[in-house]
Amino acid sequence: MDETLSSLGISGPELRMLPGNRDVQLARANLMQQLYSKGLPTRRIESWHYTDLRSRLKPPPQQMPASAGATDLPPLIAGSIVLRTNDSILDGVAGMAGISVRNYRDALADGSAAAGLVARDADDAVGRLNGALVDGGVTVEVSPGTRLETPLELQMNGSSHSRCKIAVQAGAKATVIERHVAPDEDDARFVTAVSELHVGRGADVTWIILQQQSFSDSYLGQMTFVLDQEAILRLLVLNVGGKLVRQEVYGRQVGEGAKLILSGINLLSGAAHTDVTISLEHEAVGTASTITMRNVVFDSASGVFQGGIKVAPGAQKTDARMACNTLLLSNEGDFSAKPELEIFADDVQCGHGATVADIDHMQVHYLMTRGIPRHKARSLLIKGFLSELLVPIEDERIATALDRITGAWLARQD
Amino acid sequence: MLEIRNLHARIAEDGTEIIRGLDLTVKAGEVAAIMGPNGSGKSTLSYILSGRDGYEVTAGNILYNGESILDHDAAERAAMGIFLAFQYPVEIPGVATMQFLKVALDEQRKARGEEEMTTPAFMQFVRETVARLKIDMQMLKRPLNVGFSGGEKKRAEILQMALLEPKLCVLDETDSGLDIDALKIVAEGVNALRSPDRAVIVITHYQRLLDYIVPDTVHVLYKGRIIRSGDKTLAHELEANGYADVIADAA
Repeated sequence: MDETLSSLGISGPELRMLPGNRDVQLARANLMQQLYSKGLPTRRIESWHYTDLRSRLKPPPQQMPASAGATDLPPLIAGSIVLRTNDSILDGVAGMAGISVRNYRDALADGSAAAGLVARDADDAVGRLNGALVDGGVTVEVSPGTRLETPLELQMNGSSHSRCKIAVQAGAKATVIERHVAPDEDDARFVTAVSELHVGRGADVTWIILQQQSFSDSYLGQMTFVLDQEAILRLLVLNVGGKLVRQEVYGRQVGEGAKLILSGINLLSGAAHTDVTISLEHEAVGTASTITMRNVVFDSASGVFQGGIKVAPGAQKTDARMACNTLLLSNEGDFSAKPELEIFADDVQCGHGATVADIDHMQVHYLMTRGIPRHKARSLLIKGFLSELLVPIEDERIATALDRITGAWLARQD
Repeated sequence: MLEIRNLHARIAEDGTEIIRGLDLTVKAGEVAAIMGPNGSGKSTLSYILSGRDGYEVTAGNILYNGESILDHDAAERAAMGIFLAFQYPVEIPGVATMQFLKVALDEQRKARGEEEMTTPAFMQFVRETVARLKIDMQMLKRPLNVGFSGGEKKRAEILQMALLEPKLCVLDETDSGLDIDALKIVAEGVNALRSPDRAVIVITHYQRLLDYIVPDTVHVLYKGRIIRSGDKTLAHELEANGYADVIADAA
């Protein structure tokens, strides 16, 4: 146990090599101490029941230095503002109106990051691991009323453990692509990412977490968001890689009329294990949320979806919908779905549903009678199953790029 | 063009024999109507022709241009030129109709070793055909058959047939669920495809469709066999007197 933690780089001398002033060092040491005293979570911890982190998290043979193999990727969408979690971070945004960016390493150096380096609750292994090891990130503020026409792309390939904090203020509009790409396929990496989003009153944000780690990587992600009055967040989580993946999303809809459209696509193959755990709190009147997960499971892969929705007393007229649909294409694969509703208001509409099925054979037959060979018919149907979730993305270039990524992944499964 | 010889076929799962010694010959250029009461095996015949899983041919053969098709799957049969217009077209969520049409046409051409049609040529071809069948181009942006009305689904079937240009068209109860205006449009679409090198099999319950798609031959299917064949007057006879007389004659 302690060996796992120390080989992940969680030891006093190693943490002291990481950036940060005295307060930050102290915060790292605190988190380390909590990790050692509790140990990594096992399935006996409820929120980790389907992902036993203690047995699944294998330290890579040698942790690659953050910068090894890291290259500046061209952005997913040409013309995007690219923010890298290394030193070239400020290129391209200096002097831009309506947006200010700060390197998180500066916040570590001056100690202003220290207050944020705490666990969110007793079982917050992702926050602790990331907080102890964090070595880069960005802080972005989009000022009130600014409507960014080009996407902001956060590239994490310059650091192994990143923290990003984004505030999109009242009436502003932004699209953020949080992109996790392995610099190469061969080295096993341990990567964590924590991001925090605040969507101000009437602001409109599209956020895409595109996780394309290599098939030997362990990735632990955590996103936290707060939506103010009449704010809109379209959040798409796309897992197309990784051997061990846990993506947590903690959301709060604190302002009246705030709206969330959360979609998740999990493409699983090989021996991958991917866990998406969502906890959403409706705290104000007239808030709406739609959570839709679409999963495709090949080989002996396993997937998990935990979706918890809480409706606070007084959050009347809440409209919350949750669905988890899985195409299970192998007898060795599995998928577990655990939806949970906790409702403390009496005038709400909440619903959830989960399905697990193979591809519909009549649909395959119909396509075949039009001359489409069986394997092509199947992949067309799988793409169709996924493409419905790309519809809420307004920017067609992004939808097309994501469609291409899922298509390329499917093509590799033949 | 099509020769069905002493065909016996059953449902694989429970072994129920549906087709029991069926013989039928359809020549190039011919429009053949297959009529019969409920449960006579009409739809099963269309499934077997199209190569649907779950049915077993236990005896006999189906020859298409002299070659047995029994060892070819549905996609191969389609590329060979056999098309089935479904009684109940299947909804395909998430796949835009236009995208599907392009993929189907490309795959058939590829299977036959022909060049892919360029996108502009394809679009032109679609636009012309759509106009002829009075289909709204907007419909092609929607997922295939999803939320289409009964009439739209049948028109979409005929559109596919017109674009894929098969040599043997099998229409399974294409008239079901159509009002008279839609029926006329569908019939016009089929009639436009009539040609000396193409055969059409119209499977139907009622004479009505045959007023618009006038058959060369009419065959009565009962208990998995053709019990009587004739020309178009046979359909009128059936309409007037029902199937009872024909069945009694055959017994």
